[in-house]
Formats: sequence, structure tokens, C-alpha cells
Amino acid sequence: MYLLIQAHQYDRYPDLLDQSFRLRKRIFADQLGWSVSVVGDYERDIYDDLNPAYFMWCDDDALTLYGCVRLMPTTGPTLLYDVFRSTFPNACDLVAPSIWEGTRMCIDDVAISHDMPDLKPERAFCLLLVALCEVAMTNGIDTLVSNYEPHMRRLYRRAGAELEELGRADGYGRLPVCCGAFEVSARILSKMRAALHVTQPLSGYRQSIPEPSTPTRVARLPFVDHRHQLYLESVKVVGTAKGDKPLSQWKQG
Amino acid sequence: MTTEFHSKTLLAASVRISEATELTDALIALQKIYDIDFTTYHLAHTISDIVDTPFVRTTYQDAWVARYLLRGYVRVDPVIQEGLVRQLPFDWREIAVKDSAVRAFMLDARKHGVAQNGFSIPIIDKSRRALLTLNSGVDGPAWTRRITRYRSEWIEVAQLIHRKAVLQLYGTRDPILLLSQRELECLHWAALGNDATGISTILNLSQHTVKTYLKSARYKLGCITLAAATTKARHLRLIHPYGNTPI
Repeated sequence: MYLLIQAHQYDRYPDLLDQSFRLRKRIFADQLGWSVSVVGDYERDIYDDLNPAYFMWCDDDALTLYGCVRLMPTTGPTLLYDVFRSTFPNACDLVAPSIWEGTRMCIDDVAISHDMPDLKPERAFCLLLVALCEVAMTNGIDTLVSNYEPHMRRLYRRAGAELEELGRADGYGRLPVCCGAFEVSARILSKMRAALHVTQPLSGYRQSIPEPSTPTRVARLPFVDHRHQLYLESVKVVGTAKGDKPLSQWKQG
Repeated sequence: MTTEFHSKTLLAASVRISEATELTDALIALQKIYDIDFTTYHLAHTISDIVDTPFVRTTYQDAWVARYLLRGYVRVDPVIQEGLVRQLPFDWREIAVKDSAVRAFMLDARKHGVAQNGFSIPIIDKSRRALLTLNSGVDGPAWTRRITRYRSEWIEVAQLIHRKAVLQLYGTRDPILLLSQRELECLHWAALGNDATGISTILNLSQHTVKTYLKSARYKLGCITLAAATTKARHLRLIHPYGNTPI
């Protein structure tokens, strides 16, 4: 399932947050070699102290983390502006309440291959992107500014995302790091779903998150065929392409 | 000019907020326009002093405000407690009642005239945090419809209220954030009568990107319409559409 965790809920998900900082260290410091601030097993920077929202993909019991991304409004202090200011003073300087910054987006390929052996890492990353697009839309966000390595652009394109590169910075990691603006809209969402053969919303609910002990979600039925049905006893398996394991389960509250 | 949808309510709110002498007048005007019962603006961590004094303006009844202050409810109030750390606007129905103190507070609030439904908008600028709260007595489904309809407008309004509060509190506006080259280019071509499609062709950018630059420019200039933003940019000599904008 997918959770949008804001500062008032940090104390409810200490394990997920702990896993996310460890995962970020493994991905960004160890694998990509980015110059990020590492303390022990954690990759954590000053922006993590500013109460950002974390969008997390985890199992249904909120015990195992599969992926995460950090979200901050561009009206406040943002990492990308600070990082790119030296090389590209004008690159990442978009500021508005509906423009948000998404940073440190990554997936845990080990946890995913353990729990969902049929799901390939590229696809997993793209699914996280779709879920991110969904949650951004429900929260009135129309643009996400994000950083990525140049080769990721192809993956984004294949996933149906549309982005405009705003600038690049060298010397941050082994490869240049790009800064780009992603469109968030119903058009893009349906394009992404089509590209990935996803038929149902992945994240399916607004920012109100059920207690982890009692996951209660009311099944919403996006299928046209099912519109006449008032209830479904229990809907399991959210639409993914054949061969994928279920990403989230829908339980009736 | 880029065609933007701006509702009458948002334009009216913008005019009334800028005309109001006191912030409270702006809040009263705002709740009349949107048919809201009570409005509160809370700016946290103002002038750094020994005591961290928040700046609060509200239209709640005096009796409730007095009771709130006397009982130190700010330490219990989940709207404030969560609102000053949350990033996204939230419906009060999302608040999880954590303990009996919160429950008692909420019952007491209802007893003293605070209406049942609310929507709070966190405002985060480069150095401060604030919260604008709208409180309404309409029933749940009607409130959901209102939020769906006005959400994006209210977010714009929250920014206007915040700017007004900063002006009232510090006696000066925040310096305008530096506009980027792309934002100036987009404003320049918008001032010459191009819409997003035209500008996207001229600058070889996607339409969405052009809209994003214009939105960012509009925010930085503190304007709710593009027309106002281009005019202000000309006044500030940031663009020279009939001369040659040095970009």
C-alpha cells in the first residue's frame, strides 16, 4: 500500500522512516555515489528536519518499505534550489503552492524481489511514479520538480511521464544530476496507466491514513463495468499487469 | 493574454483583502465571500524574542477566544498542533482524536460556537510557517463539495492573507523573490498578448512548462491574475515588452 506520511504522523511510522533513511543511504551514497550527508547508516539532510511529507510504498502491515520519495512545497526552503543555485542559478527556481519538489525517490529492489519476485525493478519504480502522480493530484499539486540521473529520462518517457529538463549539475555524483519539471494531470495519469497497463488507482485514498493496526479502506470501484454494483465484499489485487504480484489490497472497512 | 479561469469569488476576495486596513477586516470579507462561519490566521514563530509570540487573528466569538487563551488550549488544539507541522491542506475530518484531552477540547469548542467542519491551509514561505483555517457549520457532504470547488482558490487566498499579515506585522513587504530568466521570458511574451500555446512555440517549451513558469512568476509577484503580474513586472521594470527585455 501507499502512505503519505506528514510530520504529525512520524511517530506512528518510526520503522518505515528508519527503513527509508537506510534505503536512501544504500541507494544515493553507496550505489549512485552522490555527495549526500550520511550519518551512520542513515542518509539524512537538513531538509528532513523541516517536516517534509514522505510518500511511502510498503506492505499492507506497514512493516516493509518498498520505496519512498520526499515531498516539499516550493514556497518553502527546497533542496534543489540550494543544490542547483551554484551551477544553474535559474534552473530550479519555480515557486508556487501547487508546485512541489520530490527528492530522494528510490525503491528497495531487495525487499521487492523478496516479496514480489515477478516485479522487475524498472516497473516497480514506474509504479511508484504512477502512485506519486495520483497522490499529487488528489492534493492539488500540478507540477513536481525532481532530480534524476540522465539515463532515467528514458525510463520516465517509457512510463508515460512528461518532463522538461530545467538544468544539470556536474560533480554531485558520478553522473551529472538533472533537475526537471514533471507535469501532474489527469492526462498524464491516464497516459502512464496505459503505458504500464495499470487499470486501477494504486493509492486510492486521500491523505487521511488509517491506523496501521486497523487498515480500513472503503473499496472504490474505478471500473466502468462495476459502477452499478454498490458493494464488493472484498476487493483484492489492485490492477497490475499479468505476472505482477498484488501491490496493495483493498479491504472493506 | 493567456486565458486563465479566475472566478468572481477569487477576484472579489483579492480586492477585498488588499483594500482591508486590518487583517481581521480581510478575514471578515473573506468569510462573507465564501459563506464561511469563522476564519483564523495563525502565524507561528514571529519576531524572535525571548518569548516566541505567535500572531493570531480570528473571527471566533470573543468568549471562545478568551476561554481558549485562559485554558491554554493551544497546547491541545489538534488543528494548530498538526497544522503547523503538516505540509498539505487538510480537512478537519482527517484529524485523528488522540486522547481524551483532545476530545474534551473539541466538545468544548463545539459548545462555544465553533462550527463542526473545517479546512486548514498550511502556508510555508522561505522563513515562516502559518495556518489559515476556515470553519463552517454546513453538513459533511456540503462541506466536501465546497472543498472540492474552492480548494485551489482558498490556497491562493491563504497566500494573499499571509502577505497581508506580514505587511501588517513587519510594516513592510517581503522582498520579491528573484524571477528566473525563463519566468521573465514567459512574462515578456505574455505581456505582448501571447497565450501559453503561443509562448510554448516561441520558446520551444511544453505548454505545461510555460504555464508552470507563469504560475511561479505570478506567485513571486504576489498576483492572482496573469494580467496583474505582467503589469507589475512592467512597473518594476523587470520586463520591457515594447522595448527589448534583456533576457
